[in-house]
Amino acid sequence: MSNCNVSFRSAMLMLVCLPSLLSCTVDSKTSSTQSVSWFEDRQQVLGLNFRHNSGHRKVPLLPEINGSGAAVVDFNGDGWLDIYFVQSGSLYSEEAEEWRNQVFLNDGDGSFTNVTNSAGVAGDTGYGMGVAAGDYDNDGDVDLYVTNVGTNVLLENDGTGKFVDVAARAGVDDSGFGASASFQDFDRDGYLDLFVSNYVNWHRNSEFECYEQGIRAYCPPVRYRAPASNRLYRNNQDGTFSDISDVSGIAVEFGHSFGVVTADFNTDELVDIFVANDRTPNELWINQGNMRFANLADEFGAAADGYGKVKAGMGVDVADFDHDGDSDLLVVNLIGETDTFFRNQNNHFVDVTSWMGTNSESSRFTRWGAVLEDFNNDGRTDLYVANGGVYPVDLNLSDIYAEPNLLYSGTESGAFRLVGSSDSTDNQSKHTSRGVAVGDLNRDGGLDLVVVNRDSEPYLLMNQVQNRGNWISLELRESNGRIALGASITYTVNSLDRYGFVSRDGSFMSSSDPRVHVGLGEIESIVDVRVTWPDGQQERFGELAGNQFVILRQGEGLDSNDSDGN
Amino acid sequence: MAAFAMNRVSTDFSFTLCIAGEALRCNEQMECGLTFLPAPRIVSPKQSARFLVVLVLALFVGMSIVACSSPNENVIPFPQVELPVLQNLDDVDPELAEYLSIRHASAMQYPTSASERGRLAMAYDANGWYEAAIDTYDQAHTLDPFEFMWPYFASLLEASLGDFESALRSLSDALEIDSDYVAAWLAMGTWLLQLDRFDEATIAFERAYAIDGNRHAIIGKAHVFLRRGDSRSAIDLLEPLSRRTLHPFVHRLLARAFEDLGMSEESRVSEAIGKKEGYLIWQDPLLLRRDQHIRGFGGRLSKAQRLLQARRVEEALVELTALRETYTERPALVSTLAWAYSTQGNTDLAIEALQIGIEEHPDHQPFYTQLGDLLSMTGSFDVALGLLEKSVELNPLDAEAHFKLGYALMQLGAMDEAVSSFEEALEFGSVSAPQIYIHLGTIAGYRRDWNEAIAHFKKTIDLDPRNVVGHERLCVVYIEAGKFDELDTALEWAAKLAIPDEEFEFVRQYRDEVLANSQ
Repeated sequence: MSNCNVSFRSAMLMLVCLPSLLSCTVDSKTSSTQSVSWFEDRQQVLGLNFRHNSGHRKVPLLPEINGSGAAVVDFNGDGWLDIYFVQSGSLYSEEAEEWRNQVFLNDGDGSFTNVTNSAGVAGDTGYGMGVAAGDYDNDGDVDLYVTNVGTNVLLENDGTGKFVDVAARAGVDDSGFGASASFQDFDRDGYLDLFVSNYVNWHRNSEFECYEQGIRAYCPPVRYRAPASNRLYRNNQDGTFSDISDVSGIAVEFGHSFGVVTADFNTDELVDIFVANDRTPNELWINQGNMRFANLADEFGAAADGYGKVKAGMGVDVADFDHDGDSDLLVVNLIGETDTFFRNQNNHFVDVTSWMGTNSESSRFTRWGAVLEDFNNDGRTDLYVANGGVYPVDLNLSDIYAEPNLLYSGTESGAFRLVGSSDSTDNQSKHTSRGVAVGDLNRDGGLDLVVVNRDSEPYLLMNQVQNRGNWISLELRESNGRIALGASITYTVNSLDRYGFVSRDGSFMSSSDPRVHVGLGEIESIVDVRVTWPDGQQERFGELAGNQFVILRQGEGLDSNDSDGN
Repeated sequence: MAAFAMNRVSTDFSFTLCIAGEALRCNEQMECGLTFLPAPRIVSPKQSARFLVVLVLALFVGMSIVACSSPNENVIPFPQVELPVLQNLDDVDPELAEYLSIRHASAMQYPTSASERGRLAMAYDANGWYEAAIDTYDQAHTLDPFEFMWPYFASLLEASLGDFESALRSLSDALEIDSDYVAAWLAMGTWLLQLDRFDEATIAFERAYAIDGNRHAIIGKAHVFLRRGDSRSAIDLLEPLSRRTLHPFVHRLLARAFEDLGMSEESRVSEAIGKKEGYLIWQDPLLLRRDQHIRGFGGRLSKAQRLLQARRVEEALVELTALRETYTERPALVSTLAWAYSTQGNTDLAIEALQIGIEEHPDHQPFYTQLGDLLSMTGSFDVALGLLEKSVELNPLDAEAHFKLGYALMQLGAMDEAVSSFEEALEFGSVSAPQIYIHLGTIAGYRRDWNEAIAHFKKTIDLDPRNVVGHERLCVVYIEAGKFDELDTALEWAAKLAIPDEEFEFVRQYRDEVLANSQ
């Protein structure tokens, strides 16, 4: 090929890098990180024979581009996390029955078995979008709520992993264009209530024509001029729900709602709701008590970014990334838009995005599922983001929307540093990724990821970080044995105070394991563990040794009635 | 290698560099050098800098000649950009594919022509092949380092793809060539602000202001002050401007500044004026050059729609009429054509186009809404009613169809049904909610239910604070209800929102008449 010698190249690089130092720095940074592999994609090896189907034909129909989500849940109570995939399917009635949601049981030996056929109606054939998990009937097993384009389903678990659709009977069979959902006990009555986000009041007869690169493309949601309202259902404690969207205040807002995350944003011990909206202002539903909510997104500064720009909100997650004892927010957005990191200042948010270190990489992609967790157990929150276009990215690829996913490691300052693209796994492929769910699937103390890829197989990203730090996994259970969704926990690691909140929601249309996973680095225990249970009771659990799964049960702490913790 | 996957540092091909009319051949080892051609900084944009660029290029050429002697090398004298449209792109619009082929062939034929390369880049850019466009702009800039457009367009693209660092480098190149292009300085200020590089952002906005006293530059600078927490300085810049413009963005910024200083009443007023959505968009005449390369049905249709939004109806109609000759049956074309005709005032042609559209696409629901709306505007409410009923039958979720159906029903005197339709529209999140509340208020007023009417008109004003009709009708209802204190408060609030006093002349006259009659 070339006869140009090394010294010439060096000379040229010297010449060109002097005035363009930044360019060279950026490139060298990227190349130096690509060899790192934190995850291994074991989808095929472990028997996860699911393939997402958008049902796309020649004419793009809006729901087809959204992909779907997944849930990481222990359906049969054997202690191993199972996986539920939501299948989109087909918007053409003659094909719709061919595509079903699918259930994979974790065999505990490193493999998964597809049990959809024996799981009752878990294999719903609606045009699926998202999934929420929770024990809504307090019978000790985890039930599922699946959002569809069309009627949603509530899948009641009989405890053995068999499901019955009780949505109509329970009064939660909303027929909108569902997206994410979340179970939380918003009124602190001991029963899980349900929040459901809706994307667009879409109908096939009103599909519009949009074009990119000379081909028919998916239209942006604003094109339809049909923003939707979300739904809030109160659990009636008898297996049914009441639609209180109107009286709660939720139904007064309309938007293109996607990601949903719950947390106690104003630290009043009531669970609030944040909704990432696509090109309409985000919603922040502050719980006023008695199942009344007020959208205070404007007042809290979270309706738009710090510049007042309403972005295309997709996925969302919370973590206390500034370690001040409350939930901060991350909203991920469309290509060309930066992420938005909102630092929680108790009664308002501050946009701290430009300090977080993700701007230069993330805004090159369209981001969906986002997970803030400590993957290498070094005590710092890391970030995994699933990407994929909504407009054609590369017409020469078999998947024209494919983009690489991104992994960032947390830094000491609380910011993030790029580890690599999807490709921080040993899998060099890229797809159109959407929903992401997280949990420790092989119980080895490292968090694993399930990533749904549109019109393709999922990723099952098994954590293989070398020299992971110590860890502890905290499962919080109420006195009735139910996972304590909505509880918060504080603890001290190496003299530093830390905070966690129990939920399954966040990311994008997916449901994750609700255990609070704590990376400890070289530290071997956490101390001064305190739990605030969903009913407001506070309880201390003292010191807990690391490298184990621990169940903290309400009423079994050191001093269950000591409300001020002394 | 596909054009889309081409990095700016290509490793597959050799290429030609033309300086002062002479072509220099370099092999692949050189390409990094070209990619990282010395990027001139923002400042010192004069001849001396150009001289430096030439000097560096000359040095580059000289080194290349010495270093790149490979007699057996298969040198391809062109930076290869393969034609993506020819690969796996059966569905791509043939007109667009053909145009890109022509542009590419022309660039191949004149490999040292920067303008041909630039045209190819613009063709990629205007039609959505962004990565290829960035590469090709880069090549055009290499071929002619003194043409402003190539690095400028590249920078706009890079920014739109979220790569602000590259965008700033390209924009610096462009401003080195022409430091008087205001839109470039405004873009630079905006991107630097995004990156929280406040000092540089301020400089960029000041440069823009120095050129033509641009108001966007003032707003940009005020925005920097706000981001820095210097709300007082932001107010000093924005307040005089706010007296000249009612642009919501200016008032939103002002509201934030007032709020920061605890000036709650001033903040409330500015917040209300700034409630409508809308960002500042400045004129960028160069974009017209790029848009000339839009081809294919989708691109041309979008262009026509943008022209219509800009009220450039005649130009839009030229484009749409031409499109209709080839693509008669496309629903989007029919809808846009009808929109253009009705904007032009040619309602008959609009109706005719939609009627033909319905014949060809009887299940395409938006046609029924659009035609029903048009017929309502002409007063044919009874005909409109049937069409709008069909529309909501085809798509019961369409809030706008319910809204327009409600309006037709209201005009036909079917008030209860109208209220039901309006309520449906609100339930489905109608974007016309302020208007719907006016209609609901009007119906309530017609029924002499003043309290309900007041509530509806207040809702209109809440959603759209400067809605003049909402203010007027609220005032009238206050008079009807004998609530004169509330009327005075409402008039004061309208004045604070800078609604012209003459809008309320008849309100005052009516109030005086009512008061006179009651005495």
